[in-house]
Amino acid sequence: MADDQKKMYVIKGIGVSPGIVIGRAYLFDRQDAQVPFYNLSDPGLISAEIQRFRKALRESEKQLLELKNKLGDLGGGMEPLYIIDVHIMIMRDRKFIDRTLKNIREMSVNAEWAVRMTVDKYREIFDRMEDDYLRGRISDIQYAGQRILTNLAGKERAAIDMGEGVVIIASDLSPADTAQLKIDKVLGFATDQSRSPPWSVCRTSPGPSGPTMISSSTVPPVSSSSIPIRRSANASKRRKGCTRRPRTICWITPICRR
Amino acid sequence: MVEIRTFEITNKLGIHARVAAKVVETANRFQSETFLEKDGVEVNGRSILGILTLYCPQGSRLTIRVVGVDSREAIAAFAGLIEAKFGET
Repeated sequence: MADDQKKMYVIKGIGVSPGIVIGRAYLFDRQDAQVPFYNLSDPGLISAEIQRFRKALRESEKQLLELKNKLGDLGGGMEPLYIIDVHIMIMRDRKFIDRTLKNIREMSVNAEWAVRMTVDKYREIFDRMEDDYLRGRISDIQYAGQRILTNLAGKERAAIDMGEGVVIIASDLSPADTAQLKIDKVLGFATDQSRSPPWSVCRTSPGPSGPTMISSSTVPPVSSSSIPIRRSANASKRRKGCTRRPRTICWITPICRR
Repeated sequence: MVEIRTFEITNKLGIHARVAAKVVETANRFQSETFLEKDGVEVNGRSILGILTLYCPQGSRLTIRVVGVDSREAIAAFAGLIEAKFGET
């Protein structure tokens, strides 16, 4: 990378685990991470691509229904179940389906690209909304789209090749995301606005991570899941108490985007 | 048969995902077709994305048009839902 393209950012955040690391920044984009985009070389492939999309839709809906039943069996009036219904409704939405089919037919793109275009179209619409809360509902459409993309990719999701000694920069990391990372190559995480509680990320990843806060951390991979969970518990306590705000700064140079 | 009524959305968060899901569920309970209109834009009451993109924060005025054999019962159900603030505050 040429020197004039290098840029230094200093991001301050709340430390989730102690330590300082220096590494290459890897900007994690959940959607780009695993999705192959390509044009269909032959118009004859369009119908097969439509079938792939429909199959992924069916599988996604089936998984959500199973998840809902499973959570429902746990009892206790699981209030969050409604969000699963929302995601199912999005997948059944005539407009969502028709728009995606139209993308495949008219743009001759693969199903993954077509789904991404549909989600992006909705993002444009939601971006124009003034109300913060309503504008934020795009996340439900993105979630539904992401599940379809996952099913299009098949069950085996390849680990992301991001090189070694990287600091993962992400707005949000879910357990599914961290499962995709080669964790022994990761030096640290800096995250923002994660909706997943700390322990849900840490259970799938042996390294400490920083949901809901920007963090930097050293990640000696550990086999026991108890260590990151304990660290996360400390972090939550720290955040709640707010008596001491740890100053953890993530030094990253150079910043590069894959 | 057609029933048309205009409502004010009074719950604090407006028509967000959960509320939109309740509207879709209600529309799906009836044979009649439901259409929601705001600021000259009309969407199908069975489409959660249509309803969300209509963008109805608190204070919006929403016109519901129901067309079909059970339109009277359907509009009453929508009225009940909106008057109860969709079960919210």
